[in-house]
Amino acid sequence: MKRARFDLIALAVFAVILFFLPDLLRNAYGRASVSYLSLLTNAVTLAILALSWDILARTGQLSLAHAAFYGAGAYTTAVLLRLADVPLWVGLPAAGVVAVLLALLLGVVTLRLQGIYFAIATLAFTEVLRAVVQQLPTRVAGGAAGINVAPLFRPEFVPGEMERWEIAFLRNESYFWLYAGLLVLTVLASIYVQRSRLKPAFTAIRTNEEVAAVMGVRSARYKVLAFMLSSLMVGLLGAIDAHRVGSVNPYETFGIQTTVFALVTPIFGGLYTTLGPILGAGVLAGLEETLRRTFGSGYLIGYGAVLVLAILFMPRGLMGLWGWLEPRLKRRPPSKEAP
Amino acid sequence: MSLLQVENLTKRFGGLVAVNEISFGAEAGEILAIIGPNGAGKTTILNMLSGLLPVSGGHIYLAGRDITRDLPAARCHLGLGRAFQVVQPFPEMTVAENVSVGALFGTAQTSQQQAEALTEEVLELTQLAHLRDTPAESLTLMQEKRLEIARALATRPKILLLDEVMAGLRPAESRQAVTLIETIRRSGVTVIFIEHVMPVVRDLADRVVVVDYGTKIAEGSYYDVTRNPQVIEAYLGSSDDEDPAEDSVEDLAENPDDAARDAEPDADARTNSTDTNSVDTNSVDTNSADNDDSSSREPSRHTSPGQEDVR
Amino acid sequence: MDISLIVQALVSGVLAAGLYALVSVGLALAIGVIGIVNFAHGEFLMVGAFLTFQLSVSFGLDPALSLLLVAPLLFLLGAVIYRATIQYVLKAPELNQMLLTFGLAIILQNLALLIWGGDPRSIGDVPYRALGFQVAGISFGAVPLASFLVSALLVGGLYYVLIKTPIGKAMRAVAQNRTGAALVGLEVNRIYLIAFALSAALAGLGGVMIAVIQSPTPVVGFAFTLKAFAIVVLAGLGNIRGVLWASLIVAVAESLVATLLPNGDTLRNAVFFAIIFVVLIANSRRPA
Repeated sequence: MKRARFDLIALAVFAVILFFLPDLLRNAYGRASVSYLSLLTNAVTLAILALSWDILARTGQLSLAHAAFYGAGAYTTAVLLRLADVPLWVGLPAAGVVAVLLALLLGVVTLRLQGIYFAIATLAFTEVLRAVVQQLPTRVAGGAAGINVAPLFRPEFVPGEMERWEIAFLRNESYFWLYAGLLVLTVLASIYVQRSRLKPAFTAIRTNEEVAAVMGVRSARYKVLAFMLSSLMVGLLGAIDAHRVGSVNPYETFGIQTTVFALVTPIFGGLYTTLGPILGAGVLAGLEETLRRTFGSGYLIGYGAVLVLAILFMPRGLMGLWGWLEPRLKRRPPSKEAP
Repeated sequence: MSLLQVENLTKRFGGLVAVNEISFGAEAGEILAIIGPNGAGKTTILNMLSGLLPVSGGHIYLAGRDITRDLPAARCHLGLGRAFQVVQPFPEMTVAENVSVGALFGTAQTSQQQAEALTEEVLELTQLAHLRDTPAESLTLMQEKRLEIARALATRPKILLLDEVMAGLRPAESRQAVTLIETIRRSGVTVIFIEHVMPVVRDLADRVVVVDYGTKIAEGSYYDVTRNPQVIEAYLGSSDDEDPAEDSVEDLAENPDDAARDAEPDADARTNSTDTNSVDTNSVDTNSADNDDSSSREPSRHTSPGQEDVR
Repeated sequence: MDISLIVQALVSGVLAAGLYALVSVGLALAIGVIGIVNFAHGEFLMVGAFLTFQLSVSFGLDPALSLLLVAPLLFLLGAVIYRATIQYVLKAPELNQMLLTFGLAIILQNLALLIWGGDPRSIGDVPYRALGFQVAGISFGAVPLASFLVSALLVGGLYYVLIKTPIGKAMRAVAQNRTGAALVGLEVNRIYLIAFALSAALAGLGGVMIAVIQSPTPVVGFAFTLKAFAIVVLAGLGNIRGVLWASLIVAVAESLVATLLPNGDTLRNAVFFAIIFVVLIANSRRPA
């Protein structure tokens, strides 16, 4: 339990930093802070994707359906606002509920699938869901063209008191705080999994589901629980993104890239940990931006190369690198103890 | 009614009948051995008992309650513990963490503190306490076997199912394991075990069920079944090159590999992954089982104290 | 409903199944023999397609002839990629293999994007593109038919190789038992290399046909990766004969839906993946 307390204190510090970061950036960089903030936003959203995927992966379920829940969340808020005269903010909790219910459904029917069979079934689910959304009456979901989504934040421009760029900054800052809040929620969920009896249950199921079951672990319950928890986070993310981007459509909102980033980042950072996916997200988001600025078009070649090199030279991700480094750093002092 | 009652248990894989209408019971506090040539369907029986394989027919009752359709976890909660033939600890966890999975989840409601206390208790009992924080992947075979039993014990079973725990052990280790099983029984746990090492069966079992080709061919005391002509026939009959002068199963069992080798259909392939029909595998098994890491983890189906001494 | 329409849809489906089978059989080889989860498989197809395009533009080479050039080039590319990367992750967890091959896919895709741009690239005038004939009111396009025949020939050839030739027998031996194969003196790594290169070459040949049938973009490969995976999984991992059936089923279903339903063309993918989903779930629920 001591470790849980340490985690929570670290999370509180992290949350405070996230809260003040935008304004620190604005004070330090002025106008240029808009692009720094957008980089930071990318990192935070990537971290949510990655950590929520990792929570599910801890039970051995390698899902390729992350885009499905992201899309479901996004479309829920979009369709709800379009069809019903509800307050703007109702869309978010509704998106969470829909994502969780879908996860319950998918989680239950895929319970007996393992490994790559599970992966392909979840991928197929995504594609079918995408098609279903596209085939819904245009009046409801806008068909192939999609629908527009109202923004959550509309900061007012006050002439004389602020500059033009500051509107963009203020709007992005509000979204950033929202994302940061969701990240904190996701980290809380992850810490809960890591520091409660869910951890041995998840690990046992991942490493040997039959043995786990014979030892009394109700694997179905935990697997579906992980699915719902993971999907809640990514469904909420999809809904916030829908508002920020301003529209949803079947191709981009259910795009496979969401899934790809969700699984690449934790592998890069370090699987089955809380810190790994977050570190991975920070490094990969920063790397992508740096490569883009350095190489312009074609920069993704460098990105792909980094992934390949990462697997070849640090197969256990950034966290594995730390595990390799730590004992070597600690070993240095003993020179004094020599007889 | 017996604590565990099995009625007309049947398992078919496609056209193959692996277990055919087997019935037996286990009384509270007894040690029951299930023996038979390899491929007789023993592990299949255990897999149906613990719920890993759905039955094709028949019923299983635990303390009078029909558990035939219950999930493995539910059966565990009702008091059915299981140690596997191929030891398979959770490699990423330490020894204590492995055991604590059983302690935490073995019964429906256990607090963290209760589980910790139970884990310690079981670690002491199985002499693993000094290895508490060792990663499970770096244990010796004997330690792995202990861990396998410890994990099952941590679920607080009324009945413990042990699948060939002696396989691959040296004579001294084998004796330790016998002592451990006796200790477990004294604590009030009923033990059902599959075993090839006949002296172990003789020393431990109150009662013996003999299975051949998926059918129960004898049941009774060790003395009775080893002198049962049908049992002798089953062991001799499945042997190609056995010296017919041998007249007791006990002698045979000192070198059961020949007797057991050719009788294994696919039914047990789930757990016995070595290919018994292939000539290559056999020669590898007998010559280098101890050197080859992968094969030493395989259930060695022809290990008995007598043979180990030769090595 | 017009019966000839259905027959036409069936015929188109069967013809399209050839290409699916060709691409999937290569992936089944990679998964079955090497045990590698290769998410870059479709990129070999994409590279094959753009090579065909480039050969046609630069040298006026007929796509039919570029089959002969693309196959060895892709074999070489596969071999190089195997030596440089794949051979180091053979025993790594599936997820690591996935990330590595995703990385490879991103590299290949964006190289293509850099060289050929993101717009669809069409080979100008292929003289036989419009050719075709009719049998009892059912039309057979020359290109789909040729693509089917070439695919059938290649898949048949692969079977022959696997069953009759020493290297094919070695591949099957390795697929069944790595350590056993090593024990009887097979050079496992070399067999893997050949299997991977062969799998790349087969996908590349599929790309040649794609270059004629469609106007490929750099993202054409990934769609095929997903579909090939789905087919291989539907068939049962590493089951090469099952790939033929699975390809046939999904291709015919796609074709039927596209022909018979209003706006069915947008439903092609949905039908494909719906079949995969239902079969996987149904199979997993069947009692052992």
